[in-house]
Amino acid sequence: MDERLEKALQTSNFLASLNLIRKTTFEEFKQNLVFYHSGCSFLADLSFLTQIQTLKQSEFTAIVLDINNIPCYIDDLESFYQNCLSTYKLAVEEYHNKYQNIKKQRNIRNLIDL
Amino acid sequence: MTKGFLIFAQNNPDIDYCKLAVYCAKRIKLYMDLPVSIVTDSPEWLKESQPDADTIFDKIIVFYSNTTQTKKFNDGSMFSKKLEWKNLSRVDAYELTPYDQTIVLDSDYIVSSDFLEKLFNSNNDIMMFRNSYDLAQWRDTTSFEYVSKSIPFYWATVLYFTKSKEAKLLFMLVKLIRDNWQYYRSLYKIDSAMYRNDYAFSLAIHIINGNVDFNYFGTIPGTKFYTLDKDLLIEVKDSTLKFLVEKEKYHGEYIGTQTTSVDVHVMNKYSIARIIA
Repeated sequence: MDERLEKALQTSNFLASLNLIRKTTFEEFKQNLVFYHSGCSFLADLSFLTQIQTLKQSEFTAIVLDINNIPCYIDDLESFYQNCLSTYKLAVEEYHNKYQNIKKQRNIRNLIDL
Repeated sequence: MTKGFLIFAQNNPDIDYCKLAVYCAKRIKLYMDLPVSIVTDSPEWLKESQPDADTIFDKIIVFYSNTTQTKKFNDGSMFSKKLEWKNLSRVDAYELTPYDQTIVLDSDYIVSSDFLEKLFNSNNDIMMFRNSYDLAQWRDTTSFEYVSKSIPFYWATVLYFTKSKEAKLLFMLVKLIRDNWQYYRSLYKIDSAMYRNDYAFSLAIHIINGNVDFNYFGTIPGTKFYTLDKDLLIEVKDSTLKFLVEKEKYHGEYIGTQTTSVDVHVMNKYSIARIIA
């Protein structure tokens, strides 16, 4: 095969792998945002954090809908918010580290560490 | 309240589901340290081929089912074989489980985190995955979103249930659907003549929901990661799984990818068996 063509093919395979791993890493991040409280499940993303922050400005307790639309009574909004925030921080830090590592790689072998 | 996992392992001449179940159970113990029971029709083979089975499994439940189907099993995109597929006894999980709270798992589900442990803290009586993520990303996933045009697809790969009236009702209905599959598939215009647990559970949930897209039972939060049997699992190193996934438009070619600290449903059983060996 022509050397230039082979190089082009390698680059395209590398980019395809890079894209896949980036997407998968983002999905892993979303999975890590899931947390449970009083038997209900929540997704600690920024929009949910903002909602809770808004609620806790004027309330100490609240009823919040979980992922399955089940109303959940939160008896201590502040500690619920902290729990949510720490879940988000952990997940986003892990995502950031993984992303930085992916960004540095220049070939498939290093990318999936074969 | 007792809690634990239940894995079905019913061998065919080519695939040793007992071996896969032992591997799955070991990973559950590693990440969650919870009891695991196995339902099998090959107890002698299990004990002979896996000498540590008695210590790994909390209970070995012997269950024979004389009903089987035939299905094409792929090993990557270049090899396939038609084999027996004994998937009809999943609906007996409610009667067979020794636990009050149970997670039924496919033996080809590679656990790499404690994600499922959190389900035991849930208020729901039944939970299944509705969202899924194909690691190849280019394939049409419509068939994993809807069973037929308007019936939402639920994965029976991971099934959480408690001993409750609701769960009992669901399992009874699924049994009815299984026993009258041809009737239900024509009623709901499902193309597949082959019985699949995913379809039967999805139909049952749809019927209980009053034939509308409503969520009476909970869905498992998050996403079920999966690869089809046309992809290859090439390495498992702690919680990192490495795959070669089918390449779009290039039959027989693959793209490398990997997952870290997430559970993955690896449908290529041959490739799991190679990793374990």
